[in-house]
Amino acid sequence: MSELIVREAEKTVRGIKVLDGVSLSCSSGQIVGLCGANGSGKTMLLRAITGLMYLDRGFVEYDGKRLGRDIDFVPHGGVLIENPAFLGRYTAVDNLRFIAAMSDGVDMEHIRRCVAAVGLDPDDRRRYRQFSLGMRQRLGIAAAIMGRPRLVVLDEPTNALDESGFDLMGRIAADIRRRGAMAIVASHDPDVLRCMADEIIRMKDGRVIECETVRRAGAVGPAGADATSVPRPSARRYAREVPAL
Amino acid sequence: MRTLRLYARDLRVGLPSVRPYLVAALVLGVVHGIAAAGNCAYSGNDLSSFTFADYVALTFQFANPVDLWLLIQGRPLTITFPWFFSFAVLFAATLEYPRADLLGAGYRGVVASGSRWAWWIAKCAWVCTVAAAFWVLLFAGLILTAWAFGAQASEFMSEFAMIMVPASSSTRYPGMSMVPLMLLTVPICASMMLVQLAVSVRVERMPGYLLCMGVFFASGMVEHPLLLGNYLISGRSAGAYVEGLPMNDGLALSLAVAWIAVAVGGLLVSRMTIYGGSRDE
Repeated sequence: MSELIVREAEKTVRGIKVLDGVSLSCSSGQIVGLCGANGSGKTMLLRAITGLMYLDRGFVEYDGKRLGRDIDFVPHGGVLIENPAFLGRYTAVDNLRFIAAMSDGVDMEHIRRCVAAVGLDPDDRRRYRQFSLGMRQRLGIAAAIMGRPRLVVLDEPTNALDESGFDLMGRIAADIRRRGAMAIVASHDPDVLRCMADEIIRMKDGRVIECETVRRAGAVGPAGADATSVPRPSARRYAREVPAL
Repeated sequence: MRTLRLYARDLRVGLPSVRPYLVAALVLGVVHGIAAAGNCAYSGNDLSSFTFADYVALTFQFANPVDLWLLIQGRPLTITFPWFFSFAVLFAATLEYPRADLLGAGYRGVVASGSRWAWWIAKCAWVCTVAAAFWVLLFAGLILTAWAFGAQASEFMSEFAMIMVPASSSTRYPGMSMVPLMLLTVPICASMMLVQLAVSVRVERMPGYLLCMGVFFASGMVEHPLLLGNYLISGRSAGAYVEGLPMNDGLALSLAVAWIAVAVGGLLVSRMTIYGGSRDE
């Protein structure tokens, strides 16, 4: 059982308070959503959670280890923050291979499965610089879930995705829960979070203004459809074409 | 282990960004060689009278240090611009990749490695590797060109070149070696590139570059043991001239600068905010 704790997180960047007393917690099998407009502090909070940014006050602890003191980064974490950002001259699989080389236990078969799971073709020889925005975003998601991370951090994961993105997020959420991992997902769209998260935290000006518990049984998906109902035809077709994670 | 993995990644991913500069090193070696051959021919002596060391000495020659008294008297300031070319190209080679990697795709590698220091040390190792590769290629081009012009395969300067190379020392003994200068190129340049790296990951690229070029410009103008570039000027090298700057001093100073740059840079990286994902590479 792993636990992530953020306590009274404060951070000032160039005179602007980007995080002001934010607290949250997340444990194994749980997904926490961060909702808020642009500039509300979601991305900065995600940076603090992953260890890319250290706080001025407060702390982030993962399994009792404090970021910036005991560990530099969250161990076994999968990250998609801001833009996908990959190496333009390499293919999707090659880009993931470079990342996988940093850790053990990620073989080529798993990489190819992750690429396929997000709707990309693992045999596609096109270079990343030739990808559309949606394809780049999908590769970013694949990098975040590759290696079965214990903590998945996703920043606006449905940016540039078509409607099949909701289905993809749902399957990722199910996989995270099944593995007993945890996730922090940020989005300005509450519908995206309602199809994934157990709890939604709304932020504004670096502060938490509301916490909403999403009940899984009655969770409402996009366009008012019940998440447990039959998916839209296009999403169902997409789900058949893409192998499971 | 994670530092090695990051270093291996840097060798693979960073190589395309420095490949043009490594090709330029080879070309610079050939160009310097041709220029040196021209100087040798202009001296009126047979080209076969000169040695490989002469070509190195002529490549790394620089005008005598600035003499304020002479300047006041109206003597013109002499700047040997060709001496700067190699360093200007080399320092530019490692400007782009480390910073771009941190701001772009490389941030995932940092997170996956679990250690900011591992990323930093790997980048330092990569910078040193680029410096070594650059000088190996430049000297290869220079030596091959010297050989093509019929120079003797010797590390010792000839008496003809001793006269041609400006030197502040009045004591010149023919037969001095250029090997110490050649051996110092890598540690001295690597140490300056580590300073540049530390500045560029924290601030911007150009301030680091200008700082390094500024140190070398000052080295050309002023003969002082603390200005590292002096050890790479043939007329001030103890390998060539008895009263020149000792090789051991240059090595010790470059190692000290390198250690300070690695330590300070590592401390900066260990606390800085990594804005990864800001751009593609």
